[in-house]
Amino acid sequence: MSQRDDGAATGISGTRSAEGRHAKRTAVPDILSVLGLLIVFIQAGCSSDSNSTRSVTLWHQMSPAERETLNEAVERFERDNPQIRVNVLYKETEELRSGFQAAALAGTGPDLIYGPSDAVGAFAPMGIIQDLGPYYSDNELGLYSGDALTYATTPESKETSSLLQIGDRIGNHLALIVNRNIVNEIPRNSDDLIRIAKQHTRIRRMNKEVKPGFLIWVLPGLVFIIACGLLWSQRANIGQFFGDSRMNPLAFLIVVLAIFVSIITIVYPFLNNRRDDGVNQYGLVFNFIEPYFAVPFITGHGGWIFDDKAQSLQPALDTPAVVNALAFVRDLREKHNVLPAGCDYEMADTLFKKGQAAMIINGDWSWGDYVANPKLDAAVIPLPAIVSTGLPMAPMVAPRGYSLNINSLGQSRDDAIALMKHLLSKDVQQKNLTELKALPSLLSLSVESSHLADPTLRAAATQREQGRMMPTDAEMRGIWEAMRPHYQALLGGDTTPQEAATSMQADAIRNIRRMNEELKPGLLVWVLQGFAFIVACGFLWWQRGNITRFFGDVRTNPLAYLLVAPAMLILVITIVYPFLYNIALSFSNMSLRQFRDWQLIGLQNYGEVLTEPTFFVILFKTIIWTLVCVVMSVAIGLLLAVALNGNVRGKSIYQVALILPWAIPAYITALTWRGMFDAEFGAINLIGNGVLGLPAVNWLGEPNAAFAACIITNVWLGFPFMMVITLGGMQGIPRDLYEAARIDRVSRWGQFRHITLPMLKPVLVPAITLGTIWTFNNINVVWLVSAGGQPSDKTHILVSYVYKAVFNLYRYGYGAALSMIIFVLLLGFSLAFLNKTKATDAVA
Amino acid sequence: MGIIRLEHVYKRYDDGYVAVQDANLTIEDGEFLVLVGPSGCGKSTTLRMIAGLESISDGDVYIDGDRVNDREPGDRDIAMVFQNYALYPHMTVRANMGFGLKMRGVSGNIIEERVKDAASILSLEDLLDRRPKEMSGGQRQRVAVGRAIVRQPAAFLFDEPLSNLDAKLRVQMRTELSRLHQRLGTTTVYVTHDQVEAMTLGHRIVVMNRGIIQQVDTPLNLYHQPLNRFVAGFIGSPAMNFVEGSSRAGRFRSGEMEMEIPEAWARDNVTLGVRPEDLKIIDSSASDTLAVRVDVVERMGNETIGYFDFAGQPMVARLAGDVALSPGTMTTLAIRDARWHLFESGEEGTRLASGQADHSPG
Repeated sequence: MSQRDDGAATGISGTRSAEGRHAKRTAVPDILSVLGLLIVFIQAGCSSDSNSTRSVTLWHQMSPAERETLNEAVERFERDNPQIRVNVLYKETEELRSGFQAAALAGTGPDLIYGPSDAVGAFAPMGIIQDLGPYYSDNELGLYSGDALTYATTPESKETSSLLQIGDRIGNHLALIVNRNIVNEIPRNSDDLIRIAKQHTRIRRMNKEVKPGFLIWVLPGLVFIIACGLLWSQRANIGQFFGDSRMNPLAFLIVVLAIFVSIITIVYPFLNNRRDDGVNQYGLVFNFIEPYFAVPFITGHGGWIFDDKAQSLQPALDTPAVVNALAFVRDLREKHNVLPAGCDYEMADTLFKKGQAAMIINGDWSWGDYVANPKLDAAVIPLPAIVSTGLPMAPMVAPRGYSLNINSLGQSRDDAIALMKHLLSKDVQQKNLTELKALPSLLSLSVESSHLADPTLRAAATQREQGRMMPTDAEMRGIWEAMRPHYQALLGGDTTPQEAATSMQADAIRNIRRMNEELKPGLLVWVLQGFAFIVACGFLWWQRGNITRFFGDVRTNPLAYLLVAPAMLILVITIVYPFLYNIALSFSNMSLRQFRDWQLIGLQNYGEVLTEPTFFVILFKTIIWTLVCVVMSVAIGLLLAVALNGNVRGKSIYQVALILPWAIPAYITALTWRGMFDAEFGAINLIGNGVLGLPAVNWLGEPNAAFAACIITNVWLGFPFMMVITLGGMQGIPRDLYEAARIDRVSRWGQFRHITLPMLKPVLVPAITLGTIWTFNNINVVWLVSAGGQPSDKTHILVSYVYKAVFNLYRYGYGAALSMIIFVLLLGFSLAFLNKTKATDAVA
Repeated sequence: MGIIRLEHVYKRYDDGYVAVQDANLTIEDGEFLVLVGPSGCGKSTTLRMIAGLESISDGDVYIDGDRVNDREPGDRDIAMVFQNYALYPHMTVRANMGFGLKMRGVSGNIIEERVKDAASILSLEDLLDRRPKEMSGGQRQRVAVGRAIVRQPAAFLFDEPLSNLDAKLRVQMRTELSRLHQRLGTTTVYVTHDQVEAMTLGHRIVVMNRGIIQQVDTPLNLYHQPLNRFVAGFIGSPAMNFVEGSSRAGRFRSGEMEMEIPEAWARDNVTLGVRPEDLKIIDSSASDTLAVRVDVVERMGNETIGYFDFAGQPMVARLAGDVALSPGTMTTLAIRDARWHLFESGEEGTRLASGQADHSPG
């Protein structure tokens, strides 16, 4: 309890003095550093540091198998250096990236981070990692392959490049894996590949895929209505069967639905089993919808994502080579039908592991599993050459390695370097090579030919030689973001290869421009700051009575305020401060290039948001999304509540069953629905198309259908809340109102319309307001069901768009402005709605 | 027209509880019939079976000769007024009153006219555009009555309509309902647990206990000739005094007290019933007087209610306003004009004899 306590104390005192001396902006990172220290405290847990032990923290994103060797290496290091404790923390790649950015910005974070080299591309311009040059001699560096050393410029180094990452392995590249139980020849070129793939594709296809038409809703509706009508005519018999001769129609409806669902759930597995008789088999699978997997096809056609000849970084996506490559990839499914629709990473992986795919294209991280799988007899082979060009398909190759946090200083930096050197040592790399088949970065290990005896390693090495190093520039992000939507639109049949390539190029140029945009403060900043100052003063003046009363109160009731203080403090830290910080950010130029040294620049971010047509398109979509979700949730919730409020047998069972969707964590539900919406293997198409013969819908591949899928999922998640709220409200409606209505000869609908609805108003209005805000801001469902806005970024709502803008293109100021606009919209809506419906009015 | 007939009507619940047992009743056209009894006696259930809000387990209900067991409440040509008014909260008084007619497809003009008439009868003209929550309890109940009136049904059913009002308003509304019935002359069935309401409003009163009709009669007959001990005890306030004793050889005996009774009613255990207003204080004691200890004295000014202890049995007497009594002293009570009743013992013991063979007013 020594060093850290000191750190916290100085952090706090630093805050106080900084606020006095400097502008607000410098105070911000200091406060953040206190927060950051708190976070480190919490993450370090109650590790009992004695005075003599020092600690080094490492964040990594290794797979479980890789983690084992890492842990072994770390244990060895700790044995050799008993005074150093190493905290190893796993974080998923994106989480590591964003978490490290936030922590480093706050002046804290792990000493070392381990990950692919492309992360360096963003960390470098942000100025949050250190130059490793001073800690390595030229001789030491000479031991490593040049590809393993990642250099880039940082804000500190200005023009000259610094060494920012040293890789312990080079690879991360794609290759072809063949299941020799199915295929016993090796494709020599792309024609071979297609021929073999087609030869081993055996699909009992569904009915022809069509886009969802009007009929798809009408037909099942009609069937359902007719079925209900038939059953209703027999209600007396059915009622007797259930032991209740006087069923109300809604209870009846529920029973029918329940029977319907149970029949389907019982019948469905049988159907599914029949379909699984090894009848479906695909020739070639891979993560079809992700442009990273299309890169080998581009290189094979003689292209590259950047212009090799240009001096500066120029995207080269609108080239004949890229167009040909896009056409080639599209035809794999459109023409040759060798892989399933909407094939993503999980699906490809699962199909191959189940022996339902002859070949797969996947990265080196996956090979170990495939080769070790006894059911497969998998062999890794280099990707073949493209016939039209004669060029081999070259995947991207990237090192993975360690970088040093800019905030790691003094003793802990030296310890971190020691740990890093150990983890990069020959022993550790040798172990990684033999156990993980990871290609080492040390030249001394690479020249040893012994590992070439291993066919997988041989193929890996060959494939690596064919590959191209992945650029580590931050601009890569902008390229992927530009490629993905148009690539997916192409695969969905919504555009041509030429159009897609042209749009990719245009978007890539735009994204890169935006990422590198360095907005400068305008004149308006002074006006704005003055305005803010006047507003603040005005507010204080206006509230002066309350403020003096508050201080008077504090003096008279110090204990009360002392007791409330912790809660107040937490509120300020978690709500007030981030809110004010966000307001400040929205007027700032915080971005990739101005990460730690951002300035207030004025209204430019707001101007940019409000002049973009995309904003209004997405706003419109968000409104539709919110409207449909809330209306459907309320309608279904209300219907079920009415049904459950009556005399229903087994009421509690229904009630529990209907609340379940709410009780299950939303992300599990969302992912389950994503699985059910799968075009070929999902329950919805299997039942709709396979059992009922409705046209199959490419739920996740077609923009409108994907949006509908998101809505359905969200309604499923939303109705139980509305049902519970409504049911609670209904308990409070006096029964004699309904009796009076019966005597007045009011129909059931009339009773609902004239009694239930008005009496529910006091509970429904707040519920709808809350539901609207939740839905409007519900990023989870959209993000998970549509896998981050797929296809083609057509399923975004405002919040997911903000998320994407902030975390994928590092446009923090822009994102903050956008979220302020969302906040104002929601605030306006809530006030207007509550005012309009006068929710606070008591009824009766 | 509005003749309601109940024939062997039963109400049994799923758990076997019998709420109403073999109810037989004919309510004449234009009659004001009151169902009275302690809570849980089945009076409300009976009314609700007439209304159609409760299903009839057994037996038949006829309205104007038609069997209505299977008719919906809206098709029985009755109107009902509830204890909690049951007004549609988001509708104005006008809409509330006209809603039943609107649902029956009556034209707007006629509705408007009838609502106006009803409003003037109930002096609600100024409130027609208010909503229920903007009115007092008494006003709401008048609206509920108005809603029944505009329908012009064969019968009105009232389910404890005054029990949510304060005492003063209750008395006022009671007379108003009475006047209204005189004016409209519509058959009315009225449920209450308040015997004063029952006595003042009803042409005939049905006294119920434990789901069984105890007696159906005019108010005065119920008072003077109760069929059993339950009715005798339920009607009248303060309630009738009961003295447990035995009858032997033409004499009723209870402790020190002894009095002559008709020979025919000799039993081991019988109960003597005397109304508080039929007791008086006398100076001298005799064999047929009651030696009692004064317990509590309640002075009302016009009268005094005295509470006494007669050999462990409580007695109440209604005495003159200026009678001299002090708690703790002994005094002697005598029965006035042989106004006593003799019952079989038990809660619902049959009346065996009365001291004055005919002390009904007629």
